[in-house]
Amino acid sequence: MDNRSRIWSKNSLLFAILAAGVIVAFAGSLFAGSVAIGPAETLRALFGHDVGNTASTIVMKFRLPRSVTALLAGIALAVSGLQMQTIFRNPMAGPYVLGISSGASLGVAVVILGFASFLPLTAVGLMGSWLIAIAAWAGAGAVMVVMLFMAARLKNILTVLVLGIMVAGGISSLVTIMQYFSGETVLRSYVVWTMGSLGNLSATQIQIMGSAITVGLLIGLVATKSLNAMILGDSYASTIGVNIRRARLMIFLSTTVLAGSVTAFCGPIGFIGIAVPHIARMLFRSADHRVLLPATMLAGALLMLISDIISQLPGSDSVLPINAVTSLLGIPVVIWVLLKGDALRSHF
Amino acid sequence: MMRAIELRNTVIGFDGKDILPPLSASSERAEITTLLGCNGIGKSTLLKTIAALHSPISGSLVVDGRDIFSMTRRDITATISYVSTEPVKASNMRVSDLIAFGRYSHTNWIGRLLESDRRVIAESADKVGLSALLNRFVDEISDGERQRAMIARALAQDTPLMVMDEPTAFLDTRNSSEILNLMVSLARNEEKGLLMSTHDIQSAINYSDKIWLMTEGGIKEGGTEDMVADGSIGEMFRGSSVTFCPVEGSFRPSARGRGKMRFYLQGEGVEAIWAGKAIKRAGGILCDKAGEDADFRLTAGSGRDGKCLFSLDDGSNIVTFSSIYQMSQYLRSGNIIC
Repeated sequence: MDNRSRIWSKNSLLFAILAAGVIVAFAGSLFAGSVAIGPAETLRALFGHDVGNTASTIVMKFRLPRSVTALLAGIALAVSGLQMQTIFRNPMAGPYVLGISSGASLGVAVVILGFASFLPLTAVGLMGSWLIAIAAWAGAGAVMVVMLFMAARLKNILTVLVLGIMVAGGISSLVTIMQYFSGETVLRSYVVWTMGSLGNLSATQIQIMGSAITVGLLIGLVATKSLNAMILGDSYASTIGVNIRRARLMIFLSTTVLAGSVTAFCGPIGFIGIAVPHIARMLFRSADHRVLLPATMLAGALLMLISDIISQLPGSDSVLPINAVTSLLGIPVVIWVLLKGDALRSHF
Repeated sequence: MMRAIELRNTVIGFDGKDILPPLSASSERAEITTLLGCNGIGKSTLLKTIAALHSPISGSLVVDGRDIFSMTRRDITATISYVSTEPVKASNMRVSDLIAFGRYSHTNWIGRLLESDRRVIAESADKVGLSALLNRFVDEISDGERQRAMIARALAQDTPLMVMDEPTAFLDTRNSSEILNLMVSLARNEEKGLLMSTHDIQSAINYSDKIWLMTEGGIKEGGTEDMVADGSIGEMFRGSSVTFCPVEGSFRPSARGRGKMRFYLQGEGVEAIWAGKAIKRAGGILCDKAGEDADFRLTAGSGRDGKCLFSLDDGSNIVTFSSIYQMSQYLRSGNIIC
């Protein structure tokens, strides 16, 4: 039992380090931006002093929402990636790679390019945000159903990945056709959305996203035990007592809500979902989702906050699209997993 | 005797399509029952049906005295554990975590292991001889060790019945006989009802109490020795390149060649027995009496230095060999048997 306590204390230390990292990065992301605002001013703004001055407005109206969004998006995307890698039994699975984000984009495109051509979204307000969220969940869910259905028939991991690329390609063609017939204004707002952005979310949107992600995480938490067993494959999982159908449904709901919500409000953000679970597994050397779930949440939040800080290009006036930054950070991890060799022979 | 599994006109198959006529057979607790049959005949499908991974299409299936249709997933999990050759690939999973999956239905919603669960896990690991490897990762151990870990996982499930699809398939002789000895002790000491499939007829005969022989006509069942003696096992290999000898309970290449020579074997001991096997492998026939009908007389005996010598007498010449190998070469090269 000596070994058990050794693993436990090693894990505690790692959790503490990750949590500290998230706090530091969150603070760093609050300071990042084109206008220099010192720590003292930032703190005063956060605690409600100096209401009305420029610094306070920037911190409260722009930076805090952006940091909170980064935190939420990082957690949600990373957890959905973890869940997908386990239920697809595919180390290369993730919301972006398997077309789930594309599905959500299609939902959003239908709302922005379709409905918004007739009535401006801002006029619909709260309704509009919910509409986008629901459309994204529906799109993500539809692709997830297709992928799960296909993956059950195609045992080969590579085939499933190719299929994901096909689905994403098909959806992007549909979206291109929709764009072709869209007006200039809505087209512009859609294109900006596709670049991915952690800023520009209203308080209402953050609330919607935050509560949806909380629900998704709670479902994920309840499904943790069955997620562990699903590493063994359906046959074994079933004979040790997993209700496969129920477990799949819960993980499906959780993943769809998590990946769909982020995509709805931040645009498609790639490579966090696929890369972070591998970082968590490497750090904790565990296949136990009771460890991996919190580890993935923390590592996802950390990576997204760091991406946010980089995208602000500290010391400059420009802002990079967040998707570009997450890809540049995430792709090396994916390549590392591939180079490790047997990644495509199903490795967790 | 307690009935472990009973098939009564059970029809098995996928997606409503039957693959065999209705099957009837039974197995007992505290016994090892081995399922034999050719590749693709449906052994795995039958075992999966018994483990409730497929539903029977029709007929009834009784496990541990209860109809499988009346059992909940939880009842089944508490009654049957299942081991297949399906590999478990997980690079960050420890052997103890893998065995712990056997406790899945015993633990709470988040899977917290109690002291009692940990004890069962340790005991299961001990039974399969993996105690020293509990903290190793499953991708670092050998195939044999991983298969033993899967069996330990099934043991940790603590069920009266165990269903195993080729549990010794990828194991070498030593590993596989260790596993089979474990099976015997589980059956005898813990009164478990064990059902397993294998392609290894020899170990099926050595270890099982009962055999289910699966053919396109259904299942023929019987005690192991009864099935050997009445020729049922041999029937499986009719027309193939091997012949099953019911007297020795082993295989040899089917008789081939033309002018079959008859040999009378003299001598005692292991050397004489194996010299006889060599003659049979070469295509010769052993006969019981010396005299007119034997073409050769082979004598296995000690030479002057105490080493074994083999001498072959064809009535006119005597040739002497120092090894069975030499003798076999002579038989082949001299075109004595072909």
